[in-house]
Amino acid sequence: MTEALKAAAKGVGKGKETLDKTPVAGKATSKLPTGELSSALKRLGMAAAGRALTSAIGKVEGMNGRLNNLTPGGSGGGSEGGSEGGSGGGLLSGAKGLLGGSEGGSIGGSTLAGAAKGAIKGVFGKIGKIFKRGKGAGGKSLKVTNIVEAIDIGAPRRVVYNQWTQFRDFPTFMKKVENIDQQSDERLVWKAQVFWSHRNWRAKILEQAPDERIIWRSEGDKGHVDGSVTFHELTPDLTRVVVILEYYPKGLFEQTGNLWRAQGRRVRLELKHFARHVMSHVMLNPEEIAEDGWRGKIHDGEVIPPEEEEEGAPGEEEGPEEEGAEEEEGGEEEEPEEGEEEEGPEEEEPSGEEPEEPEDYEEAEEPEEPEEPEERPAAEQKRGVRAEPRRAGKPRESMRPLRRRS
Amino acid sequence: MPVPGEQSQGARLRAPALYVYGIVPADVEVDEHAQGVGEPGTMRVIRHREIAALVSETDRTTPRPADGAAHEDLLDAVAAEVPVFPLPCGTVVPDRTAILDDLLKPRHDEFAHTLRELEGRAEYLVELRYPDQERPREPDVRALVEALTPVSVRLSPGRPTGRRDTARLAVLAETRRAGELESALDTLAEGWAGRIELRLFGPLAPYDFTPSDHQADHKSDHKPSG
Repeated sequence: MTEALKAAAKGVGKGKETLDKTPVAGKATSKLPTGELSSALKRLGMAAAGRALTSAIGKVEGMNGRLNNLTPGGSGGGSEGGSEGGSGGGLLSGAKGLLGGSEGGSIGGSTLAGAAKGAIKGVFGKIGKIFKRGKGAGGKSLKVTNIVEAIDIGAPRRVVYNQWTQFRDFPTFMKKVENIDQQSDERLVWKAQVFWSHRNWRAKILEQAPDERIIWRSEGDKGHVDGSVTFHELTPDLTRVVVILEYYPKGLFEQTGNLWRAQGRRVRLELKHFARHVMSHVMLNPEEIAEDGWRGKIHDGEVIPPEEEEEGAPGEEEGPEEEGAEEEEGGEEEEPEEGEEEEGPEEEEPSGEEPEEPEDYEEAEEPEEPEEPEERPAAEQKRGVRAEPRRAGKPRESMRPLRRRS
Repeated sequence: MPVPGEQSQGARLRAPALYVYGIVPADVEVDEHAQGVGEPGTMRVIRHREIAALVSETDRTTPRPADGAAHEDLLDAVAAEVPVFPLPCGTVVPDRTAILDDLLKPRHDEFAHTLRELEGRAEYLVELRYPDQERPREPDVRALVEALTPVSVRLSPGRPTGRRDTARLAVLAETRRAGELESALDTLAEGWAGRIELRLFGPLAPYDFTPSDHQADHKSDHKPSG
């Protein structure tokens, strides 16, 4: 194994530990049958965790994103996921030295993060270690906090739904959602601020039917949020969005004092932000969004290829998950953010069971992308390489934004 | 601690804010025609000792679909010229003061160190795509890694593609050795002709080699605003 590789492996070390003991170079493990790069790299000791700013990238590449997991101000728990290579300590960061101070505890990390924290909080979070799951659920009895919220939005259902699928936009108008990274059509990594801390969780969309509903499950080290959102046409230009969230806290912090109670309000506020965004921004050019949403379908966690999906999309009736929506209707005031009573409709019910772990993301296969939908703006093409690749550095269109001072 | 960036999060920006692309060495000059996400003609650097933040003004609160590409294109173009520590698309801070106080000053040494490490280097992304939706095979990846190791500084799994017939390897390499990188790939590609489609992207901003996340929790640094 060469130096660079060793270095890389070392750099990734951090991420590595989050990878359930990735075997090191050469020691192939039988449990990774696939030949995927990430697996192979892991075997080489490089840890699939080697990626870094994955969210940034994801953001760029998948402008056609869609949303899925709602959970606005939600909460979540610390695991973030990368679908393929995962993300995790960046090499630079991990590699000792590269990031000077990174040893201070955070590996993969944090240069930026730290820098960003506080100041740039709006930024998109970025994900760090993925695959870190597991340690959480720790056997304790789990509590579940249910949050049911609904909001009526003065816009056509298609517009509302499409905007919802543009989940990458969420951080721009939702206050506590810091980042949403779409790993693939059905996998998302959320990052949100919850109280004083940040939470990450990754979600997998189980069901998604255009204009109707999105149902997801998620996991995260510090708790996770499962839920669903449904869209109901009240009139041609009035749409009701119903959101149901089940928050499974993990860890002392969240369970103490039931801080999560406040999350019901948080969710309501974020929904209002969403409504406001739709009504006062999106509706300025509704045609745009009418074309922009992700109209794909997901069933049983698998993206349905466009061919099969084409027709009949708006077929099924509304999901069952809307019951209870009324309960919390109406009457909220304008987001006083802090002062108001928390009236979240959260009940808690100790539920003895662990939320089922969604499948192993690391190894789960990536469902085929549905034919790269129109707008997946080929970050690749853009990135300059040639069609007949294996050539680097196609001169960028003479763009030289910066020069070294001589 | 106050959170100066707070307002960037909401949907309302009162005054033009600064969109931040990344961190670069202080000794750079911005081309007057440089164009990124923000308003034309407003791109500049804000310097602090050895490092600088590359920014442009923006008063938009909602990203456009084109922003991601503009952000990335700009950073990739920058990476071809000077070391750059890319920030994620969408990073907006209120003003110069926030950039200095919250980004550059506190992290000066780390950024400076990273930029020194990146000097003369850039990321190249190698993509293997298999026909007929075949999955990438480990021996191929291994061969790729072995072929590129001599011409690279570091390797990392590349950013995900969302396709299971595709694997990506990110390569941090000396830009002056890009030719060797290409040669190595050419050799491989010949052997793989007809079996694997090999593509190379770059030079790119080193997204796959820069740290991504902060540890999830920084409790003490955020005001309780839930």
